[in-house]
Amino acid sequence: MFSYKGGIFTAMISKMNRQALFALLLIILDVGYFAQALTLPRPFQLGEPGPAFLPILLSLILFISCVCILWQELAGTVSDVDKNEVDHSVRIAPRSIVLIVATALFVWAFEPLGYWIATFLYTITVAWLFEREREISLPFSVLTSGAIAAGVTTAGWLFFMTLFGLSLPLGIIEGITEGIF
Amino acid sequence: MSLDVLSGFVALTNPVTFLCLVAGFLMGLLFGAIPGLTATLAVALLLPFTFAMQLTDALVMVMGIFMAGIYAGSVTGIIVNIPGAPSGAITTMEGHPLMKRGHGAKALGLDAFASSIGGMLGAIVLMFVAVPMSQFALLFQTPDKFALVFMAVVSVVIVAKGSIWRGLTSVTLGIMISTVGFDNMVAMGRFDFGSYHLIEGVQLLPAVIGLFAVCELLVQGGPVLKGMVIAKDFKPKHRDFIPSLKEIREVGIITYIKSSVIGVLVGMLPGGGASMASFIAYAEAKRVTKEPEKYGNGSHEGLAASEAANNAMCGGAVVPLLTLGIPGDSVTAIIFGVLLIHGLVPGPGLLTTELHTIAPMFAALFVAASFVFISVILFGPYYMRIAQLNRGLLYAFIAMISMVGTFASSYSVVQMWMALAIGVFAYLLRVMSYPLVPMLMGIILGPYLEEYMRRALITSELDPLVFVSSPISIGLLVLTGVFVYFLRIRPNLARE
Repeated sequence: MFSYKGGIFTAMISKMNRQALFALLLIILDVGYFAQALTLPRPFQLGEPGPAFLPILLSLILFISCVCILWQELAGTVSDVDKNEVDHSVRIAPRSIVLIVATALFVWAFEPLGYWIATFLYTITVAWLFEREREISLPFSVLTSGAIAAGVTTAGWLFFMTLFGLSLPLGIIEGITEGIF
Repeated sequence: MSLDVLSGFVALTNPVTFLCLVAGFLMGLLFGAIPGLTATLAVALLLPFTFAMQLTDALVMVMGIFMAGIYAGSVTGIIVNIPGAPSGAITTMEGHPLMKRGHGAKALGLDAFASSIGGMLGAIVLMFVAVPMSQFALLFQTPDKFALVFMAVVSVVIVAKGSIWRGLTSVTLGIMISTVGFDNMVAMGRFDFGSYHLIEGVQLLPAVIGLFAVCELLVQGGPVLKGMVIAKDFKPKHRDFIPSLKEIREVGIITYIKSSVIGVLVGMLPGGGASMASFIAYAEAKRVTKEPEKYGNGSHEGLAASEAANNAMCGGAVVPLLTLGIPGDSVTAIIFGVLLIHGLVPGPGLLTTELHTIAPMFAALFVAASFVFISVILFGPYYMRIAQLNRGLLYAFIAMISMVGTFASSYSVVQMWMALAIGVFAYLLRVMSYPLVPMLMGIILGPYLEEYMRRALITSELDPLVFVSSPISIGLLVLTGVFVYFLRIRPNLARE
């Protein structure tokens, strides 16, 4: 199977692809989960499976399945059917990373800034990222994104607050209005 | 079926009661279709208002929400690949590929038709066999319930597209996520790292939002525009949503009936739910199909099986609530509250003494199921416009409603972080071609799997043979083996 001069492990390392690396990452996470599970009371200690029984079982199952994926990738034994199921169209892209950062900033700022400001800034960012797909000028895309963000933010407020009476944070707006009045 | 049951239809002729049904149905459509909002949330929001409502009106409205909410989960799933509710996940798997090929109207039509058939059959079963069937469900012991959940978990892995190891990894990760938080059986926290936020565990709503809405947002942010523009020039008419006789025959009347029966039976078991019903029906349809290669790529049969089952579940789920006082899922748990508010205690005897009060519920479920098909003919062309919306507007709206909806469900920013974290992890899994639906099923079924397994072992004094001690559990385990053989082993042998 491995005719590489440096031996089986060198050959395997040379075949390390992103699928294999991801399986390795899952194994590392699994080891962390397993270590945590071991801190729980020992299974069957008190005459019942206990809180650690299923987690330990799960970490073993995950370990086996990830090792199988890793082995298939490194040994090149992935079946053609499985290879065809890999969707190469889904990739990590800069815009996706910007969306993750924008969402994280939105969650972080949601309570301190309040619904209106945080949601407007978040939705204008998301809208603009997708508006750039259209062949329109930068100022126009900012303008349309602003209009979309204003509409979506207002719709969200009407939906959650007015229609269903749910409470959303006002953040600094509340402080400002309290100062004025 | 007694005359009291039929009198439920008479109650619906009252204009106010009928309007309540229509309002509930529309509310269910809205909540079911918007990712992050669920039928459970809609019923929960309705609960305070039921104080001031007539019991019949309140029950009828809840049934409208229930039926429409379960159905509508598949609408956005088919159109934008984001199921509005977890129960729409399987339908999404088959419906969205059809949408991408420009057959969105057909997919929505078949979806609604199957939902109507399933929903109506479920309601009929409810009317005819509520009491006898609930007595059968009473026979299910803990090991039998474990065998049922185990079968659902195994089905999830084997019906997932691609490598079985990826499916197994995905479902295991889902069950692992479900183990985070408070362990009710020994009253201690697990994997909470001392944080009181984590001791609550991962709630279903942020998990669904993360797995489907946040993940889809990130995928759409990638370099390839997926599916959204394909149907742009296609302007379907109302009649395009009516499936042809040929398409219905292609699915087969047996598929509709068998899936509906599965849905009703699964619905009757506490912890069953729409997701499990659709999975088992889908796996069974895939097992007997002559065209297994179409599954996962837009199979009409798979789509119809899954949808008929999850709407048939509505009828089944009401049975244990009314006859045993056991709510089968979150919606029926809230219906429990509605009945209690009005002084009725669900359980044995309720149908004997209050059948005339409860009967409109059965009728409402039947009528709401027929509304499903009517709704797609009326609103179908408008549903399709979701796909033609400006992408900036669509994804800004999805981003807002998902994250703010997560906050509104618990008033907790921590749940928003949870949704984001699960979304990013799900995105990585999708980049690596791991299926996400098994992960969701792991999160949903994990607590039941663990509870039934531990309870069975405790009551049997740690005897593992308890899992093969009753004919029901043996039957379910054998059925699991049959699924594995027909869906994985035999196709592999045939290829070799």
